[in-house]
Amino acid sequence: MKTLLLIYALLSISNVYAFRLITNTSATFSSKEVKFHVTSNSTCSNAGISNTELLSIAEDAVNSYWNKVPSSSLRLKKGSIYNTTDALYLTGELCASDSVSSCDPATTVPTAGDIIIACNSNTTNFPNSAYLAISAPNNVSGSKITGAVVLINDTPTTAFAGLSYAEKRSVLAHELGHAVGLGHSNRNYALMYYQNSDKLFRLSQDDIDGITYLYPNQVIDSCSGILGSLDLKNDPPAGGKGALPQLKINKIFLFNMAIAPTIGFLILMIAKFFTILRFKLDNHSVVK
Amino acid sequence: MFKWILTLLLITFQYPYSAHAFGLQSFKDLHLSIGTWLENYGQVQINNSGDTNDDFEINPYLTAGLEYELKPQFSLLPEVGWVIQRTENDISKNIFFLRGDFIYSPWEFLRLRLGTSFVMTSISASGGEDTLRNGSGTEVYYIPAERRTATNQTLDLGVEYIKDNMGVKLQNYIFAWNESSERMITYSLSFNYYIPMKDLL
Repeated sequence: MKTLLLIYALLSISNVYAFRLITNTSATFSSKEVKFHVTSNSTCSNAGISNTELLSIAEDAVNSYWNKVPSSSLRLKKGSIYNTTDALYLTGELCASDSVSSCDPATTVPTAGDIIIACNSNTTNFPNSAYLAISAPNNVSGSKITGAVVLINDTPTTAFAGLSYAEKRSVLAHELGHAVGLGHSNRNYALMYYQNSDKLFRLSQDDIDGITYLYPNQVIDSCSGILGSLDLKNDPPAGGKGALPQLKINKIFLFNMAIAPTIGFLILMIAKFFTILRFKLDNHSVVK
Repeated sequence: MFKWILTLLLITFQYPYSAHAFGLQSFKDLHLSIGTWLENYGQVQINNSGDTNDDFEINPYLTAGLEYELKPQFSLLPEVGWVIQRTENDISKNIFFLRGDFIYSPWEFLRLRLGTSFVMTSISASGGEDTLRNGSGTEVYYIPAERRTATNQTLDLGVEYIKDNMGVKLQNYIFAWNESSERMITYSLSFNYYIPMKDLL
């Protein structure tokens, strides 16, 4: 009994998982590389940041958090200053006013591909200074996100302007987490917790598991992947030394070269083991 | 570097395919182990003071494998393993791995290991809703409704102290070993038991 209790205690001491998703369809971007842009008309006068600074902090945010997860295939990439004169990015409402419990994307903030970051002063989006930023995938079809919007609180009472660089970075990382499909976590040390902190230097395991769930890395992700690809380029430069086909080894091919023999070896060893075992048992029976 | 490791792995794992290598005497031990899996050790946030998971924690895992002796001091050890399922807040996580080690034993009591693992991280839940804080109010979020599995290949290094048929092993598993910006390292500490094949057969 004591042993059982000890085993139970050991199994109980473990990491915990609490990530949630922002859509009930586990919606994700279909591309593993998603770009984020900042609108050109975002002056962010109350938030106290220029659009180029915003883009730069967002880049630092993804590189410090989401792009560091090897079990996730998602890579967020810095885009550009998105040329637009559409004032609805700055003043539009993100969540429909009839949203009761969750944020149903409104039609007032324009939809676009990728992730659009803007400074916004709509007081329905930001009823008080407790809201530093909001975001949501606002271009979703079934389980596919085509576009998302991140809005920084640019109302006169915004607290964003008073944040340290590290806090702004973690706020942007949190909002980009929503943009790619993650909801909140109830772990107060997770990046996806609803409150910001100036000491969120890394992702928690909960954040890592969430992004891994939404965008699982696949070493083998297609039939051709199973075979790997050792491509002999068909179009070598004409004549001369370059006429020899060039060898292009991809990551999957490398994987197969390393792992496939291991799998084969394991199977062979197990088969051999049982063959020998059977032979021995048969012999033993004969002797008896 | 990439090609060098590839070549080493190829030589290592292809060698036993030869008929010559498959002699009865080459099966040395059945290997069983139990230990703790220290996932992303020292690299994830564990509280809102900024601390990381660099304390010892217990996430039990089990492995089984067959050791194949190539020649004295050198052997191969393919094994399968499972990090025992953890479930919390309706979300379950299993980690399975298939791995192989090339083992060099400079002394009887010490073994150095170089290997690779195919790690499958499986996360699942059965769906539903959860109301959580958001700003000054609350909002509904969703619990995953299916199983999804991520796969990774790791580069593994390990050291093991052996006495008689038992050993203690510290091993690391380097995820994204060829991408320094996203590299993460998991460690395992295990107690190993070797059952000689001659006792089994």
